Amino acid sequence: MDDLKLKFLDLIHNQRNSQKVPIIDADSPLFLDFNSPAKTSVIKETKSDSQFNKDLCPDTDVLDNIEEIYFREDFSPSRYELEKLDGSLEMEVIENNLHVLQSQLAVVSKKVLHMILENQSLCQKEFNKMQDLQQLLSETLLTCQNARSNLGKGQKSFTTASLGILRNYSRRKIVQDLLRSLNTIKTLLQTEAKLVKLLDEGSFSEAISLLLECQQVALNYKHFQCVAALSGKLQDTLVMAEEQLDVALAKICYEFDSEVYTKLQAAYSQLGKRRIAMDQLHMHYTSAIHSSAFNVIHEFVSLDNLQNCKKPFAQLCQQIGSDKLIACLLKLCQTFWLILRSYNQVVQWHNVNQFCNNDNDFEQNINEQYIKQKLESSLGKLWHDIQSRVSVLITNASVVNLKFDDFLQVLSILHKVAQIGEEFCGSDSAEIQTSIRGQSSHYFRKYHLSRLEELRLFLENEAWNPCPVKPNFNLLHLQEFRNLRNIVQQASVNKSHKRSDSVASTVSSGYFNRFAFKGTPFDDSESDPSQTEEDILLADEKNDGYGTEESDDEDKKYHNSHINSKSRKNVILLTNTTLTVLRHCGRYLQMSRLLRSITTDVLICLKQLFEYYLYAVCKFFTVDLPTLTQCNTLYSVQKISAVLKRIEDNLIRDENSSENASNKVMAPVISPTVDLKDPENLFGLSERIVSVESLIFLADQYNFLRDYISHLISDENDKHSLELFYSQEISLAVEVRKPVYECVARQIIDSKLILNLMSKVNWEVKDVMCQHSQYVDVFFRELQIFVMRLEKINAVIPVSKDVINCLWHSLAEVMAEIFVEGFSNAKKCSNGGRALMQLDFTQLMSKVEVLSSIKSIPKRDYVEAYVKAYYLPETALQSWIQSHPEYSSKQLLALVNCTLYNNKKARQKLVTLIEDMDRR
Amino acid sequence: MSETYDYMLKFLIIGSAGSGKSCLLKQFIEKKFREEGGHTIGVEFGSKVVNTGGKSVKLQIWDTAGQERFKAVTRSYYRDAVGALLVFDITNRNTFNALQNWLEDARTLASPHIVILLVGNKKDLESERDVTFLEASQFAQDNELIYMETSAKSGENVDDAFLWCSKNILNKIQTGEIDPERSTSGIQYGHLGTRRLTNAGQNSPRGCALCQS
Repeated sequence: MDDLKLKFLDLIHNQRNSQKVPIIDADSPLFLDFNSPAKTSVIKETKSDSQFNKDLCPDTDVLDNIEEIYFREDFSPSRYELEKLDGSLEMEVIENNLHVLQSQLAVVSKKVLHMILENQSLCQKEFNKMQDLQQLLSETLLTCQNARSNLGKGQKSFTTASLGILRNYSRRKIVQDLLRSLNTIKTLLQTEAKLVKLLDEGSFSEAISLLLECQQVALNYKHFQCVAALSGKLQDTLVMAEEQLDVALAKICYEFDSEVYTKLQAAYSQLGKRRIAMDQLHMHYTSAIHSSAFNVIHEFVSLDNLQNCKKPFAQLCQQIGSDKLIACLLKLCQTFWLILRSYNQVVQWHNVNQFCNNDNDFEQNINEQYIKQKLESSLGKLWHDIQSRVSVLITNASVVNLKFDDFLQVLSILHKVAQIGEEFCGSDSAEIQTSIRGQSSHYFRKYHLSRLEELRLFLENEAWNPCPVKPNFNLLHLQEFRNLRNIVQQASVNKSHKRSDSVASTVSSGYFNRFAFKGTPFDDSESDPSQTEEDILLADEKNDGYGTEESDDEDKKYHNSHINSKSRKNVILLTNTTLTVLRHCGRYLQMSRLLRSITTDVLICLKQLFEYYLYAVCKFFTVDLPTLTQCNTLYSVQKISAVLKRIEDNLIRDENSSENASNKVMAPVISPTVDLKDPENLFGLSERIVSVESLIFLADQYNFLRDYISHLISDENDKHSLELFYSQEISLAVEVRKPVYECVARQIIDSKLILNLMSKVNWEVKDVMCQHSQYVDVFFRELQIFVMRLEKINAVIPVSKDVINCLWHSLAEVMAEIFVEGFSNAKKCSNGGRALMQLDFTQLMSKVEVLSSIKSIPKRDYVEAYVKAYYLPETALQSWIQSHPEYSSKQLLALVNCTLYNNKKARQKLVTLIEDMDRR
Repeated sequence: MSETYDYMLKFLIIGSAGSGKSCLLKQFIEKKFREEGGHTIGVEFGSKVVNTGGKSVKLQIWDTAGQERFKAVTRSYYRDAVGALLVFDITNRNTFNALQNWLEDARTLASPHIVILLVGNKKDLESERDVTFLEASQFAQDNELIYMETSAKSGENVDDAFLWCSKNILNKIQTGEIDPERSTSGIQYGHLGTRRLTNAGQNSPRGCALCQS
């Protein structure tokens, strides 16, 4: 039983290992329910078991008698049976029980076996099904396992790899992007170097555009940390680039380079900073002017003293020595010129390169307008800066100590500066003009004074020998007039006095054209084209009026021709001093040409030069005029005296006076070599002629300059004063002949001797004489000697007809005076005597006419009237006396005494009349 | 502004035309040289204050024309000159040959104590030399002159020539050979009170007249 139970259990265990089979006793209801078919089958199969077969019928009852309790699960039969006994241990009962129980057991067993047999095939079938199922299950498990493993494999080999690939791919993408970015950043970094290079090369525009591009790029990459730094760096570079631009812009101030400037403008345009650039440019110009002015001055001021570096400009200028001034001024002007030229070119550049051509671009238009206005308005400002620097230099530097030529050079430089100013911005350069005006006036006064002093030296050493010059000499041949020739000639031809400033401006036109590319107008002021231009038109320089003869042969020829030319009308007599005066005139005029503003000074000084010469000539050669003040008949002499007095007051320093006469000059003293007392040389007639004729020549030259000078002056007062000068002083030159030659004339004739001889003549002759008196011969002899000596002089210096005429006129006057005086000495006189007087006089005059070849000898009337008055009736005599004040009282008295010697009353009346006249 | 000086001396520059007299003067006064100056007409004038032997001396220099036809004009300037540079051109024998005449003029017309320096000019044109140094020295020796060669172009010896002359004149004043008190001595006192030091009493005419320049 137990075996079967075990077998069952084993089977069940074997069939379903995973399926839990509850362990029950063989008699458990469950077990029974479940095993009943099987038990049946088993019982069937074991038919051999007789018990079963036999008890088959009552089996059912047996079965039914089985206590219900046995079918309970948690039933222990042993215990149950035992308990059922409970003490009544009767064998029978027990045997009965046992039997029942055994029969029951046998029935049950039989039943079970039967049921087993009954259910054997079913079980087998079920087994087979179960096995099939198990088989399927295991197959399914395998498939599942395979699937799982394949799935695992698949998962392993496909999904992970793909995802890895995907991941890697995407990583690669990212890395590539990064690489690109990094490359870009690297390029950016390298661009930096390129930028610097570009900037160094001056390709600003490219640099800026590159930079801007870089910045844009950097902006795109700003998520990179390094790019933030790079961008900062780029910003720095941009700043640096702008600085570089600025530096380049600053360089433009000194030298304009169209290419560079175009690039710069393009660059600034890209930066959108054209207006700022323009402001910046102007600032650079201003600072360029400032710093270059300082640099130039520093160059010329010794910098031993460190303090010098800090001194203001004006003080530095004061330290510039007069020896360095010109160089310094030139340097300054040259530097300024470069700046100006550059600015001019900037302006021109902007005129040519208008940035915007379409009117639509409002911003551009505004810019363009702004730039244009800025450029225009700054012209004046820049010029103002420049001229103020120049004028500070001029005002503060020691201009006064300059040599004249140097001063002229300074003036000509400044003149040029002013012209440039005019051309640059139409400025009149008032500041420069003012500064030079002050300095020039001062300088010029001082210069003039030393020229006057020098002139005095010349006059005091002057031997009044003629300086041999060509007959056609005039002041324009002098070197000092070299630059003035054309202008002076123009002025004298063109009398219409067009006050054109052509002198100043036409010549200079277009400095900016002429010096557009190289050089400056101040490079070599000696050979300024504007100066040589004027000279080109002139005759050969070599024929400078005084020839260039080397050999003495030519000299002699020259001299001879000179002497031979004495008969010619225009003989030039001039002295070394005359030339000196003319040279000074030339210098003065040069100065006034360069500086109109000092024309007034120049005019005064020109006058003074002439006045001093005039004064010297008059003082030297009329010193022995005995009756200069008495000769009231000579109007011209009076006029000369008045002029001389005025000159003396204005110009001549009084030696004894302690007054501060710094603007006056000492009176000249005639050279001791000049002998005015020797009758042999006609009392220095030769020197006198040279002096007076040279004065006249000088006056002629002044006349020649008149148109030019009046062309120079604009002031009405100056014009008036010039008129006066010409009408009163220049015109006086010719009149100086009279008193000077009169000095000689008076000394030629020994009037005492003649008067003495005349007094011995008997004027009371009865008859009319036919022979002239002896004194006439003596008189004539004297004149003959004079003519002889004059010839001698004429052999050395040319004596012009005018001079000879003048001499004879003077002589005639002297003769007339001597005659009248001599006649008036006659106490008594007869008609015959009167006739003799007439005879003597007429005789001499006719001889003189031959001798002097002068047609009508003046002053004849003077003598003849006096002689003839003798014949007048008493009544007529009175009015005659009243109408002839030219005779002295003594002469009139003598006349009255002679005429009315027998009419005491009438005589007395006329004497009283004459005395009254005399008193008046 | 007034210049101060101890003495004012009258100087002459004489010699034949083209020997470079004006250039010497220009070089001495302005330190400039001009290639083409043309001939001097008559006389030109220049003055300069130099310091020599502890004195400041104002030289009043008359630069005379060398051409014969100006002789009449120039002769009047010889009077009272105390110093003279007798100039010839070392590249032109004619100018050397004429020296004797010039020397005679100077000796007869100028101050009897005149100090004359023989100057051979155009030293820079050595290659064109026509008069040897020895010849010129010989001439100087024969005529009791000192010989010096100068170049107005380069400026060599120009200052020395004038200074040497001035110094010699000052020496003569100091040794008493020249009496500056004589009005015709060609020497005038300047501002610095020299006159008082040497001779307090006398006045020379127009003594200070030129100091004001």
